[in-house]
Amino acid sequence: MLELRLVQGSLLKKVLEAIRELVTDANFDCSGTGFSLQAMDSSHVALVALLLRAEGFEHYRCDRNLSMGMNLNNMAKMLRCAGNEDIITIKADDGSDTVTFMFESPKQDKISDFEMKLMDIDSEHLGIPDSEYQAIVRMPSAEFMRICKDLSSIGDTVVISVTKEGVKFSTSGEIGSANIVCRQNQTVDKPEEATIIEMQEPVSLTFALRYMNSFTKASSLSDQVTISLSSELPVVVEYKIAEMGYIRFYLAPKIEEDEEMKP
Amino acid sequence: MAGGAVDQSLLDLLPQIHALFSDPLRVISYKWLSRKFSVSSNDAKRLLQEFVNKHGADLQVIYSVSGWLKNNPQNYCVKLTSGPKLEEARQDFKHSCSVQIYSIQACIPKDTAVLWNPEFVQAEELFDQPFDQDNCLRDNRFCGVLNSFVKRTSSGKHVSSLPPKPLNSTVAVTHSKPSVTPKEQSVTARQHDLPGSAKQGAGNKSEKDNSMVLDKAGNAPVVKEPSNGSKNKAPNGKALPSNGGSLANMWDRASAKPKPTNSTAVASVAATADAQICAKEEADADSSGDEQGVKYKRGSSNANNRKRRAVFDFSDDEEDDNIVSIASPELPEQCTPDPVTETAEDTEVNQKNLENKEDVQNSVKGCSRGVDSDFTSECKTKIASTVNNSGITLKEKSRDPPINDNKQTSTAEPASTSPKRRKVLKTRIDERGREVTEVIWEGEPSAGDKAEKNVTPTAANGATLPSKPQPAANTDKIKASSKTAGNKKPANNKAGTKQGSIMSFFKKV
Repeated sequence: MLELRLVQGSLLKKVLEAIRELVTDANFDCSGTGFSLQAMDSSHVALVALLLRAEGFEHYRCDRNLSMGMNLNNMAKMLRCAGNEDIITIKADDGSDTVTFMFESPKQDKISDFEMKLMDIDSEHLGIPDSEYQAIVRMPSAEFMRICKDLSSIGDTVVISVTKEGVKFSTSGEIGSANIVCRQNQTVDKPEEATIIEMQEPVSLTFALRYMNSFTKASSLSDQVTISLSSELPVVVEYKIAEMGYIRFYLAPKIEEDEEMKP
Repeated sequence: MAGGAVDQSLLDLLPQIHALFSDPLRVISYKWLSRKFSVSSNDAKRLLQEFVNKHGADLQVIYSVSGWLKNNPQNYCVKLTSGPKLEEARQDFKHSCSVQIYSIQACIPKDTAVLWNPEFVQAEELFDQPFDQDNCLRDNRFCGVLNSFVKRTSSGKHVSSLPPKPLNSTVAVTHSKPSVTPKEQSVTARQHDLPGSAKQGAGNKSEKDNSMVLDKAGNAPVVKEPSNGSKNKAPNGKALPSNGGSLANMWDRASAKPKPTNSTAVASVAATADAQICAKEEADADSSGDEQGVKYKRGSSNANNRKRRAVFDFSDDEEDDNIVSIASPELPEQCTPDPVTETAEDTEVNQKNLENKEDVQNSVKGCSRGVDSDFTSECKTKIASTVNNSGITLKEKSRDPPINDNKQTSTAEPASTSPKRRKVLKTRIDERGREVTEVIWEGEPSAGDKAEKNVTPTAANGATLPSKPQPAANTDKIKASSKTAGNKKPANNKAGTKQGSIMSFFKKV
């Protein structure tokens, strides 16, 4: 028996919108500690890890660990039927092959039930070690989204370089090249507009902009995004979910080839 | 001849006999039949006669001829003879000999022990049933000698019957059951011990039985076994009337290890009998006696440690391999032959192996685990361990951990009837002549996903850095080159970049 009541139902809607482009099918794992998801995109380049802690739900009941395979597009379709103010309750019975989403309007005058079929998904769970990153950049998520969007109109890849001066996003394409530098800036009125760079050593990595762009779909979840970089590790793009958990995107860097690449 | 009218109810058994007989390895003797269907042995003989009358053409009959011998009238003789030699055998007897069907079978076995083995195994099964369960051997219902003063309680607390012993054990049984028969005289007095000790854990019980038999039958021919000998320190005076299971139990253990070479002729007799029992069990896979074997296995755990992990490990590992190969794209690449740069690919593969040694070692470990100890011992003891269905339960237990290691998540998936999609590998040649292995979702036609296929070029210009173990890296490049034909390929002057795979950084749990 599983029953999760989330007062701020829009969070779940946003989460789904954030990951459904990257991952089409995924297993949601429910345990006593929370509601989580880990999934790779189909080409195994990016990974999304979602955690919604049990404390963040108004009511959280999970009798035993449950893994529910869902098509995220279908789930998003159902969640779109919920109003932004609605309270969403996720319910599933043990051994059942369906999950029920219940939407209650804030005034309790409308209650909707949506039942969705689950699916069996062969998914591999990766162990993600806690790592020290050479550079951690915290910046407004809207800013990061804007940068990725702008750069993707010029090139396919973005080189993210962190130096003492700041973080530089650069790309180049047929029409030209672009560089955007964001300096450290903690002297703003609103903390959510700060750009904070913690750097152990300079690092520069290349990533596919296509993935970065889909990560930024989560920008509505959080004002700030944290980008953690290490030369030997995938980048982590993390959006905190208000007092509940996080959504983290891992992206494997592009690697320079020593040999010529001629068609 | 055991003629006479046969009840209709008995005749109803004939189709079942026919079904049993259709198993070519089976020897159907009247004793076996009698116990199997709980009919008296005379009825069983008549049934066999009926069966022979009906289907006599395509079966071989063994007759039991009994009577006073001609040459030496003092001797009453019971003789088994095959159908063609029946008349010849009758010549030795006085005219009033009785001829009954002993058994029917598809062909006359070369080794006469085969005739007796099914009965022996069956007797063991019956004696090995729980004590509260009545059966034809335990309550002695078909015995010609009955003691009306004997009370039987089926609960097993107060069993004071004659020692359970196979009926009609005159013909073939006596010569090969030395360890059971000598103890029969004093059994009734000791019967009280029996239920209690039998209620100990199954393991204890059969082990004790074992050592008992070894102790008591020290004078009788017994297969010597090293491990048993060391465990043979159970000198408590309770003489268990060994309930038949112990002999096969010993044989089981004996066969679980290399045959002792110090053996005498007796040992070899036991060995052949063992083999035959096993062969019989193989033929008899559907028989109800399998649970009996389970007990033996649990009991003799020390000797059978190696056996436990045997047969099914292989299939498991293959399964795991499949999972690995579906999940991580490097394996398919290793599998697909590279027509162009074979050597380069080879070294690359080696490096990949180094990089991914965790994965690879897992599977290798799985394989070698199956191979090194089990398989060799498997070879030595293949009859016993492949035949005994009893081992299955234990093996299933021991195969759980590897599964948990490798596919935790998939076992946690809800079992359901909902549409199932799985990843499959497809290999094709792209328009640039490269061999491309893709991992795609089967049964997912949407074109949007096609763009996200895992494209893994294995050939030609895909020479990779050693530090890049994952072939999925080229996704973007392939797309850019083969689909959008370089419309906005970055014009950076570097030689080019490859997309790394997340799986080269994080290992599966």
